[in-house]
Amino acid sequence: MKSLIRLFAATAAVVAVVALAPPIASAHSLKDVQQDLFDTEKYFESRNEPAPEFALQDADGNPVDLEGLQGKVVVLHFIYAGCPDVCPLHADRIGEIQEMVNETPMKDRMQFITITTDPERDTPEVLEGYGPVHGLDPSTNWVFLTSGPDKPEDTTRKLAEKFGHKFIVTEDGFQTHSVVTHIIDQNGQWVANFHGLGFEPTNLVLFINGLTNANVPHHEEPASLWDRLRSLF
Amino acid sequence: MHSNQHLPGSALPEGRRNSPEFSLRRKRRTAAMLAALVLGMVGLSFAAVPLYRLFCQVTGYGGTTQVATAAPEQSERRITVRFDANVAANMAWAFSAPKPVELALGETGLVAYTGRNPTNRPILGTATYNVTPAQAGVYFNKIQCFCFTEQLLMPGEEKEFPVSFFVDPAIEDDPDLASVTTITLSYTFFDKGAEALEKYMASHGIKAAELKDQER
Repeated sequence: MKSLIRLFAATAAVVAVVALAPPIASAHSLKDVQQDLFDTEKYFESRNEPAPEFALQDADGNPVDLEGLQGKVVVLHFIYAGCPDVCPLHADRIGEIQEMVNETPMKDRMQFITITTDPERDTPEVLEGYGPVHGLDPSTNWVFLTSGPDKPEDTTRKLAEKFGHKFIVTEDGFQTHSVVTHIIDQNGQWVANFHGLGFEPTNLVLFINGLTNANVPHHEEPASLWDRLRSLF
Repeated sequence: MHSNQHLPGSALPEGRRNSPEFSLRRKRRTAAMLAALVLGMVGLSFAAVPLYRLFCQVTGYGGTTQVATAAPEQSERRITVRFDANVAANMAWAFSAPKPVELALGETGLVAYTGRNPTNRPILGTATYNVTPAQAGVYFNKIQCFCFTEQLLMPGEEKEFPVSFFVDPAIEDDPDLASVTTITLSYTFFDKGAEALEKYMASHGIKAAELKDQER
């Protein structure tokens, strides 16, 4: 009987070691990144809806629309060049992220887009001069878009509203608006927002990486018994 | 309560079997058995998930067929996997890649990258990964990798980061990749910065004083 107890105790010990050992596979799928961001990045918001359509143009008048960006991960934000406070900081942050991403093979798989909410004052000259000052590289995968002369002046502000922004335009031409970085996946799906400027830049880079690798099948963990039972209903 | 019962097969004389000491010993033994049983059951319940994973990896049941079916169906076509190690501009680590390996499709490979922190301060890093050519990424399966997870290297510390992987034999059926003989797995490590390091230390119970001790 004693040997039986010893055997049982030994089995229990082995079982405990197995149970406490770290899991075999580390986090490496988009789902894992999303979960990590849910847990650790309070400025991350997951979304899942088609991104609002847009058809705008760059400083040279070249058309840029959402459909043409299929196959690329898009990082999109709204600012205006005359904005005195938070816009330059937001542009700096996007510039920092562009630099990080462009150090990896993700460089060719994504597009950074800044859209002006003040097309009247942000002339092509203004658009052209803005990027380099804020570390945004127009020669690779960043572009500053405006609505163009043929469209109503409030086109881009209307678009920003579809992305959840609210505008208050003051008498002296300043616009009060929120600071949000929007992420659109390769299929035109609006998949996330990073709010404000308090988020950790590497978290956004990891999320982009998760998206660029999203089509890669991973070694998925089996669904738990509970999940499988629940899925029956 | 069992002290008056006859125990078949017992070599003890009747008197000892009925003695209070013997009765106490049996009670203790029963208690020990029950305790071991409870411990074992609790342990088993905790072990159910990893054991299930292990079972699935071995048998291929439960959605892990990528690993289980790939190995026995090794193809004659061989492929070279190259490894690329990069650090971002803000990252002070030295990060080096393992040598390329050539393996059959479906064959599992295991390599290790090496990271070293040559500075006198702790650095928290995180890595992104990419597979080139991008289309081959669909067939490149990583069983274990260090990407996305925060990695702390103390001053002067060197650490190995293992990656285990295989290339899905289904790549043979993809005409676009018929000429592909080499796949590159590329990692880039980023410095997560001071704020993230502080958070990591707090959540892992590493005290600033300990870090300073190591820095000396």
